[in-house]
Amino acid sequence: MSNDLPWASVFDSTANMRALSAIQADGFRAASELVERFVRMAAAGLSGSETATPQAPPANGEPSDFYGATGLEPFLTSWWTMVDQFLRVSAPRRDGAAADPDTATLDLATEQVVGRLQLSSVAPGTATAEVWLHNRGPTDMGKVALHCSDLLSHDGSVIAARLIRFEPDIVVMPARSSRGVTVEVDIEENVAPSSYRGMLVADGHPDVWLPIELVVKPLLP
Amino acid sequence: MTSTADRAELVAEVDAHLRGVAKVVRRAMLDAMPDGEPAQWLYGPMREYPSRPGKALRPALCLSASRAFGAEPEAVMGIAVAIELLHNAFLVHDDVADGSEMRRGRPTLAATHGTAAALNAGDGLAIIAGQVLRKATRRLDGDLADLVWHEFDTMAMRTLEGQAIEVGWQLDNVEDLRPDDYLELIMHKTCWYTTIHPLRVGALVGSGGKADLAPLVRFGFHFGAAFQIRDDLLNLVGDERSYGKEILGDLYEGKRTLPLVHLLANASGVDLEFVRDYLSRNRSERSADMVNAVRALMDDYGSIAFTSEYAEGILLVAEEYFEQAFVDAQPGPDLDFLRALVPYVWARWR
Repeated sequence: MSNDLPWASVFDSTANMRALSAIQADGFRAASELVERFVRMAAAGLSGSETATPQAPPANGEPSDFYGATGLEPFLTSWWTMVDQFLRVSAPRRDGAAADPDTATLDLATEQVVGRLQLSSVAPGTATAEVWLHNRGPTDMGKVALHCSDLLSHDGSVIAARLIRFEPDIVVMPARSSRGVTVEVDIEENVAPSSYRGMLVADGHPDVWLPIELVVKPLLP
Repeated sequence: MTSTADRAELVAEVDAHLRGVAKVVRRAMLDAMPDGEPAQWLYGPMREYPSRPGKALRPALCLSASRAFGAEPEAVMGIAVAIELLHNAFLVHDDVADGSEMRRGRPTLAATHGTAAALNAGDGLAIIAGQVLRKATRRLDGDLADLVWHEFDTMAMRTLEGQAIEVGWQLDNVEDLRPDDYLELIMHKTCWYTTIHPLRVGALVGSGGKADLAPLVRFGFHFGAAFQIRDDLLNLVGDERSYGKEILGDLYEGKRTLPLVHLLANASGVDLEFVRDYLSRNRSERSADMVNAVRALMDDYGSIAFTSEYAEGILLVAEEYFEQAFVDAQPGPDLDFLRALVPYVWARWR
């Protein structure tokens, strides 16, 4: 079958979305809400807790929609942006609402960050955490390297940037991809217990930065 | 705009691919069927629907998804055949439940053999589907086989839930339905087993259990819902020869399709009274004149146009979801076939 689909010139989804009628937008919105509920049900089913009934609202009181959803899949954010003239009232954009607050993420396409990177360990030791890079856009971002500043405590003590490693150190970010990067910090024996803070940045993305906090705990409580 | 010739070429290519799959799957289904007695009232009727030319969309999706995610060419053939056998079982029982007279251009099993033999034949097809799936999953790693069976069970239950919802609407004469109620129905009744399940199982086996299955729910639903709504519209505006089922059959049965949901929500005065009275009757009490009158009201109240436009909103994002679902798939003819399906539905739409 040919790759050069005759349809391509007609099916320009971006142009079509801009021209959505109110009825088309209703169909899109209703389908999106329904399908996200079933995505969650399917995922829960694989872990043995599947239910056909709408999910109960979360205990933290976060507002939910008709079906109990507290946020659509991040992918939909870009669609909401495109069609918000139709959808904003019934399905408002909730930046970050879908994300796990314990998960630090950098979205290179939208230049948004969620959460902060938290690590902890005793001295001496190695603290480890994971940060997620997302490229939800259609453009290949190429190779991306992360850098971290020195970490500074309240009394001016410093953990040098050279003690912070990334695995992998260079990440390939094709269109519509997500990659996890492990962050490891070596804590030397002479480091005093305290909170050390700094900033994580992504090479080539000047407006994307993420707070990082390393808690060095005393060896004995 | 794409020319009519281009659209015709696209449709012809997809149809040719589907015909090729249908031929292989039809032979495999018939090979799986037991011989012997009672032939006239069991094994013969069981062969009826699988012998008839169907679209084979489900096995085609399963086979192509598996290969796009790295499976050997015939790795999921048994699973694809099992899906199609269960589909045929559902069709036999559907036709009994709906009192339908035509299926794939010929009289239904219930019409030619009676309800009891048709029900037995449907049960038999479902059992053979299970046998074929068991044999197909023996060659898989144990955990993967469990996942495939879980997907199969989930699909079957989703479909039955959908059937139950629809039966309930008809028996309870439910009138205050919204378009999203209808979407919920077809998610259960149609999309899960027509598009979502075949794609998920294919990807699951092809990737050795590593593929992200969530995006396939999104693509499968948006594509499947548009496909189903298009089918509903063809039942209202198509011709029996190309459609293969009786035209206006859904109206005779009082099926709560999207155009009917729209009509119920928008008709007023004597028109609404007429539609309500029509739906309160059973099938034998609905005359051809009454059916044609309801159909005419759908034009008067813009229900056909609404349905078409509403479905377009669903289909518009299917291509974007496709790219997300198959981001890790291998380029090749199978991925090309899957990618062509959205324009295929669209090309047959307008």
